[in-house]
Amino acid sequence: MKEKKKTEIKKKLKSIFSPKKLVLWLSILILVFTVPTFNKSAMSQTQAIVTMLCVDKVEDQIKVAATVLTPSQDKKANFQVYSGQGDTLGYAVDSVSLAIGKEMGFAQCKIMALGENICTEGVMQVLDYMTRTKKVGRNAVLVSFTGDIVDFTQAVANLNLEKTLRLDRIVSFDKQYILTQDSNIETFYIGYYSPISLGLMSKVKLGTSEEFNAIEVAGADAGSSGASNSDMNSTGSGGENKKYIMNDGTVSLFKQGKHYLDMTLDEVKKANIFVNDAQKGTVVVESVTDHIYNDAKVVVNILKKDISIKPTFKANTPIYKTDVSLTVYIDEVIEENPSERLLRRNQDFLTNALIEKIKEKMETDMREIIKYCQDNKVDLLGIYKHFYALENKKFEKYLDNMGENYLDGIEYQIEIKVKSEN
Amino acid sequence: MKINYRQLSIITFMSFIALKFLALPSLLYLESKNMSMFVSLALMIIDGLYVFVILDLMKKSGEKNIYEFMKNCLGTMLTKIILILLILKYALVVGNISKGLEFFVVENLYSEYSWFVFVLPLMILIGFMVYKGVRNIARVSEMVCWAIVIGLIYIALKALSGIDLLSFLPFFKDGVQPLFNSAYIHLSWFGSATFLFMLFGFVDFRSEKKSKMIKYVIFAILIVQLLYFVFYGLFEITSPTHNYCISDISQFSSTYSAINELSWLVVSMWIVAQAVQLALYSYCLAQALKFLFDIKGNILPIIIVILYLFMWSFIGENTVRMERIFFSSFASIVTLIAQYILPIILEIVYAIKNKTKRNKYKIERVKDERKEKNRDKKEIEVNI
Repeated sequence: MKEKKKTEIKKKLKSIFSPKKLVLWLSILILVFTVPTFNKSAMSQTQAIVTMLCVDKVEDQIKVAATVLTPSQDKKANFQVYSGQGDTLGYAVDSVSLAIGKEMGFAQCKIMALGENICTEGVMQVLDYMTRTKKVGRNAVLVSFTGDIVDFTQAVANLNLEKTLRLDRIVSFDKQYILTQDSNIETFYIGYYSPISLGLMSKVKLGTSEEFNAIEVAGADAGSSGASNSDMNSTGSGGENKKYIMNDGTVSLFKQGKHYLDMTLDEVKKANIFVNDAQKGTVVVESVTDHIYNDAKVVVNILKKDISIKPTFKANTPIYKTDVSLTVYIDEVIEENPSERLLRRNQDFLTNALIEKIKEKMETDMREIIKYCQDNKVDLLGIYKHFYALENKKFEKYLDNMGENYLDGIEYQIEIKVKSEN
Repeated sequence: MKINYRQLSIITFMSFIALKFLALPSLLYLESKNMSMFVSLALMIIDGLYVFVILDLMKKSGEKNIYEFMKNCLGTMLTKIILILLILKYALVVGNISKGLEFFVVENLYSEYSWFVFVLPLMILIGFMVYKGVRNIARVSEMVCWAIVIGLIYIALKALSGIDLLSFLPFFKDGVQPLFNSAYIHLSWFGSATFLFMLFGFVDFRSEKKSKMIKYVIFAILIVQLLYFVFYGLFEITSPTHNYCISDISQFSSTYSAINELSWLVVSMWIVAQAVQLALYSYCLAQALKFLFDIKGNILPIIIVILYLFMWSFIGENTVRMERIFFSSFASIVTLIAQYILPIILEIVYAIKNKTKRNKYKIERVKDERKEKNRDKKEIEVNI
């Protein structure tokens, strides 16, 4: 009896899973999933694809401006700028949604730009809201900007139209040369939650062509939208008021999530000597005189940089020893009366005098940035992290005595080696 | 239908890595901070050792399934209690994988995606795979295994350059107590060898090569540790905020490149591997139910498992509630008994039973020998 039942069940199952019936099952399945979508509108009709979001504070109100990508064959209509404001960031974002009749979708938001006012007030609430509630990816590039929020957003949207230029790529390019780290929301978070609570982001400036020589964007009046709402404007920064963005290498430094100071390109370059990731750079040395050079100004390019940092303690005094090894080549020699020796081939132009000058210049730069850190009480070089990781117990004792001024009691030892690419 | 030793090794490998790349690394960081890798390493090594303990039992059981084997060793009552424990363990794993997958696909991978569209086909797939049996699961595992391995290594190596080694130091700053706490709280994520119980009698040991299993287990441990190393090295103090380890590693960099897009292929393959694991543990759950309630046929237990899967789509809709279920002491105790205590008990009981059997056999043989000797003596006396 049992066997009969078994064979009956098997037969039934075989008939259910026969090829013809499987096709039927599959068709039913496809119908189940497709039919309910027939009465729904396309996602592009209900969701706005935000590619960049700018946030600032204007007269006690949070103002947002977003670059929205609209899938279209018309190249110029691809990126539109919308802005709105409200008491809170949520209200501001909602005001844009209400005005354009679409939900703001931030999954494709690759740039978050923060205005000067919001940076001064503190950016962590903005970042927290946008990543947690609005699901902006933590790998979105983070920049701070100067100038009017809508003009800035429009200028970046115009850059996007010029397919060869994009703000996120311009800023990411800096990574090797200028920035001390990849400046995205994630790295900013890591910096913020570290014991020294320090964060960095590129600062992009907005201005007219008279103010600075910046990237000129063709068709700057493109991307304007016809929507009209009291909370929402769309602007093209075109015509006579054409605005440009400029990345001059300035980096904004944030302490405890608030804007603390701006570092110039020169200062950032000096800080980068201590950072392994920033491999490339130039060193300019003046008054080199020896058997080849005659009071020459020599520009040396750094090809490779190896840096080794050893934090130690000597009789309760912390010692921060930095060994830098540079592989260089000579890029330019500026001399009033070049010696004929410069014409000779098979000659090592990296002379001892030049090496000494490079070492001297590098050490001066490094000591200057250490002084800068001490004066401003900012641990740009990760000194805390090195001591905490490698000399933990002694460093904690040292911290108890020194507190915030811990950078002042450290002895900094620097050793530089320079070699030619050959 | 039996599976061979190679297939068993691959299933074990997949089981070792299956649950490790979603929320676990971020949860471990909450208690054990920069020492989280040590916790996972230690627990995975213990899991690896238990694979061989359970395999030893499996060999001893011969053609018997786990129910018959345990009934022989422990009696019906105790066997049923242990089966309930195993059912709880499998149910927890099934719930964990299915909800993890659902959160990952519905919330993380797509911005607007109905759970229903994901859950329904998944349930049909799991039901079909469980119905087809362990050999089917083994074959699918064989198909996807190496693609997963290459993908995981690729994701890890791609992100390796962004790691800050200093974030792992200093070692054991707060002592070892937090590590033990963390290990206990998150024990339910481990116990990767418990599925082996339901394969008693389904493995063909003729092609057995212990070295093969050792290699797969070590390889699984190394791959998990490599990804954890990358994860903790990249995210450092923000690790607890990353619930989707595998996708978050691949999204860390903000630079765009064609190679970055490949990460999504890996993530997709990994979803397939998760589905296979879900099928494996659903199979174990169905088998255990079948043994416990003495159900004839496979259809009813499969329906129960499918309904259970469906039920999970309604409960635990947020991660907080999920965490309360999975990281409660209850889940840890279930894993502790099912994976770490049960095999030892079975080994001991089996050894004792065998010993008494051997002793009985010895006594009987001595008695027989004496009888024979006495008979011989009597015969000799009679002859004289």
